[in-house]
Amino acid sequence: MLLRNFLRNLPSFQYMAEADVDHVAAAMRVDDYPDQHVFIYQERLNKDLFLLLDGTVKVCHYGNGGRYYTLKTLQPGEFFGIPSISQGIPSLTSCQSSGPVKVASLPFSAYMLLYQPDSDIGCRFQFVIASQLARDLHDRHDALRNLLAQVYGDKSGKIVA
Amino acid sequence: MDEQSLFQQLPELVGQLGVEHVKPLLDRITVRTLSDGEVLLHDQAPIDALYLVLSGRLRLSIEFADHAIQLGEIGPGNWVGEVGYFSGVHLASSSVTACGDTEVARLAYRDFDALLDDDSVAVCRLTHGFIQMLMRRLAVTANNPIIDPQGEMLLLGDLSVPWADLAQSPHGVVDFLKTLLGVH
Repeated sequence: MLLRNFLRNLPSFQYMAEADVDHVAAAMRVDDYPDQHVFIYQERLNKDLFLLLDGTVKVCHYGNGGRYYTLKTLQPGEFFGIPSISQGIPSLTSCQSSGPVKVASLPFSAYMLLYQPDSDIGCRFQFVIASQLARDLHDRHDALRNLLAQVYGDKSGKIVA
Repeated sequence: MDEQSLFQQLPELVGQLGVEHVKPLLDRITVRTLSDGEVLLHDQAPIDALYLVLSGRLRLSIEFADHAIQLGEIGPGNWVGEVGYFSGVHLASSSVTACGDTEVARLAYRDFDALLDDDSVAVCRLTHGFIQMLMRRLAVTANNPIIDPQGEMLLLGDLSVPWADLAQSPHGVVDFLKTLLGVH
């Protein structure tokens, strides 16, 4: 699989010029990882932007009350590790493979260069980042709705006795 | 809305975008006043615009049947509608209700797209702000909700991003080195 072809097919890359997609692809490294590989640890600084190419990755969180739960299961085409690398703060979540996975990673230095705000590639790259974060928040809100459904009834509005 | 009014109401937005990038935005926004308790958006309903809080506050909640999880409130300088736009889903990701009299500026998605052609720098700087807001909201929603003494489910944490963070010029060389070295 050619990474640049994979990137070009992602909806969030729709506004990026082909040459810029090539630049992003050239800055990324693709590797295979085994089941249970931990890409990001909660409470630790993350220094790469990851893109899941094949397999699934679970995003988990030790929350209030000491419970450990899965916030989201990532599918191929999704980026992860954005908040920590963008803000330079420890990650709020851990990210671990569920089965063997293929993942592309972009090092911190390349990420910061791409994120330059007043350049054309920077603006398009920001669109990619915003799109992934919006998808994450959309999915999280769906999970919270499901939580409400579990507590008060199913999705049709029927209340559980 | 004219530039004079915006300068008076949200001088920080001018700082965030730059003076020369304000007018193209102003040409595309309309202002709407909401009374206390008025619903701007219904959770999961179709949406076609971004809304910027000019004054007052908006309360965000996720709903299921007659039940809700209160996500928190956002204040001036913060937007709603960005999840629907950037996710491509074009559905409201929460219900949005005015807390007290609240003034918002409406920017249609199609006008945001048009702004990208006319003034990509303004869109870029706005998008940087959206990224800060999305990261804040993700952080707040990472925890599961608690139930308060009144039996209401709510999330702890401040949903609103302060102006200082939204207007912060992102990733100059100094910021790059600070982040690299873990200095704040």
